[in-house]
Amino acid sequence: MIKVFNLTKKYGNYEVLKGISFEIEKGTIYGLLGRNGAGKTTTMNILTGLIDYNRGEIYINGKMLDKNKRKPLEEIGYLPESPTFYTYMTGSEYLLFISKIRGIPYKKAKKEIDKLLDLVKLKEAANKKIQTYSRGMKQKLGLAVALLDNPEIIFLDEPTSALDPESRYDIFNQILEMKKNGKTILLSTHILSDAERVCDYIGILDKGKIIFSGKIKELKQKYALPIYDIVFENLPHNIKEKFNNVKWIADIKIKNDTVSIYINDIELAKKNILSELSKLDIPVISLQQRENTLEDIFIRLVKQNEYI
Amino acid sequence: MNTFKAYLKKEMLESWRQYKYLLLFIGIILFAILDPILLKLLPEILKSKINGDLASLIQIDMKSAVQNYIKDLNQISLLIVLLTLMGTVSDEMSSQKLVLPYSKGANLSSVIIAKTFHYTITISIFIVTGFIINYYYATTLFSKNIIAFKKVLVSAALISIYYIFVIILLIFLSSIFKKGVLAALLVLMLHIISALLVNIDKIAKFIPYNLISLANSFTTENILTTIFSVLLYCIILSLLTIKNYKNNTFA
Repeated sequence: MIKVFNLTKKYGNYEVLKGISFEIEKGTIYGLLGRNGAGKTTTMNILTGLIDYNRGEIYINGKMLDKNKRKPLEEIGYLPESPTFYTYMTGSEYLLFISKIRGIPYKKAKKEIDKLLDLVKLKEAANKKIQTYSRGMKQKLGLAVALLDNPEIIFLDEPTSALDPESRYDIFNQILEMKKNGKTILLSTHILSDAERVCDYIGILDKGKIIFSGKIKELKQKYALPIYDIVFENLPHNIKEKFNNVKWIADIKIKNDTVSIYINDIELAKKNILSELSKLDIPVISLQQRENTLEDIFIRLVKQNEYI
Repeated sequence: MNTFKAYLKKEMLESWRQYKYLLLFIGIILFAILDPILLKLLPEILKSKINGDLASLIQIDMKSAVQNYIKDLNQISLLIVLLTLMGTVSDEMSSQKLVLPYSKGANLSSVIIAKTFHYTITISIFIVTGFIINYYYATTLFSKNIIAFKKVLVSAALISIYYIFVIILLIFLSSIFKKGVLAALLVLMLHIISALLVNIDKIAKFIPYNLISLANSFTTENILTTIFSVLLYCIILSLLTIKNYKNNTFA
């Protein structure tokens, strides 16, 4: 459905995207993950034709996205991170304005707008001016704009950032509903739990490079490390230095009063964890083994990329 | 064409809801009514404040009443028009309001054409209406030195063409700097500079400000060179605006 090969984008001498490649299958949700400034919005803006790129090839529905021709973009709906509107219009007037741009006949547009406002739960606010809308309502209106004229592909740039939990819940339900209706979705986010919740595939973008692209399952299989969370009676000093030479320990993190030990060889860890802890000579309150989350994997991959 | 129609309607709605029509009405039409009345009352007002026969010193006729309106159009009205329209293009560019329409297929050239078309037509209608109203009051209140209505209409057309040039220049500068205030200040500066340049005989007929001089003198001699020059500048500026707009909007 969407294929991106060796996409490069420069702003002056600064290379924002360094030849990224990824593919998105029809009817799936692909999450583009990355820290702020990783290049997610730049990628979105290129794919929606808002900005040019320096090198690479983009195919949407088999059609190559030419820098000067916007034909393949007719199948796309885009929700930017902070959508901006003509706020003196009402929600329904704005949707009518966009449908005029699309050339949708008035009666058909009216019907579709009613349906969309119902879908995004904005029917009651349809005749209120956009300047009175909350951020969540604006995001929902932006989603309705993206869905107008039934596009096959939807690009969502950080759709839930800065939203209250209720609005986030609504937006996620709508994303899952879109997937059910066969839409192909590219979702960019830095909130990893969001991606874990809805995405089929993810791509991790860091410093202008895709450092992983594939199914979440594959990512976990490949990079998941068991973690021991240990709570001591007193937090040990210099634990990192003390365990520095232990080969089966990949990393140590301390959060509040919990020490998380990331393991790279579980068999060795199982055999030796207790003896290593006893060397510290500090009473242990609890010891728990868990799988690491997407957030753990993401941080580790990004950290690895820093040393490359 | 879809984008043009959609944006033309949007500009009309915006001008109505953001009181731009009202501001332009005040800036252009109100002076057309007030100028002749105030000029008529001026000697009476002065008589009550200063001793002596001032009426014999201040000789105001119909021609000078219309010229006074042209002077206001060239000063205070121009300022009001610039302040009202300065954000038309720059606000949309800097606040990313075009992202959603563009992602839905809006044609950027049509957006610019619709904006230019709307405001040039609106201002022209206000100016011609202003001149007609001013003519009515000026002829009613002053009986000496009456100018033919046809000549006043020609002046209205010349001032309209000057305003069309000013709006196109404002839109062009906004598309470069993305800051309405800066664009308005530059237009004002160019307006003042061209008012000085028009005194150089050799180049006067190529200077847009010459349209105001011609309108003020109610003459039709050698007006075609200036009109064609200004229309040529308008075409060039519009083409450059479209190019800038495409390059700068999402950059």
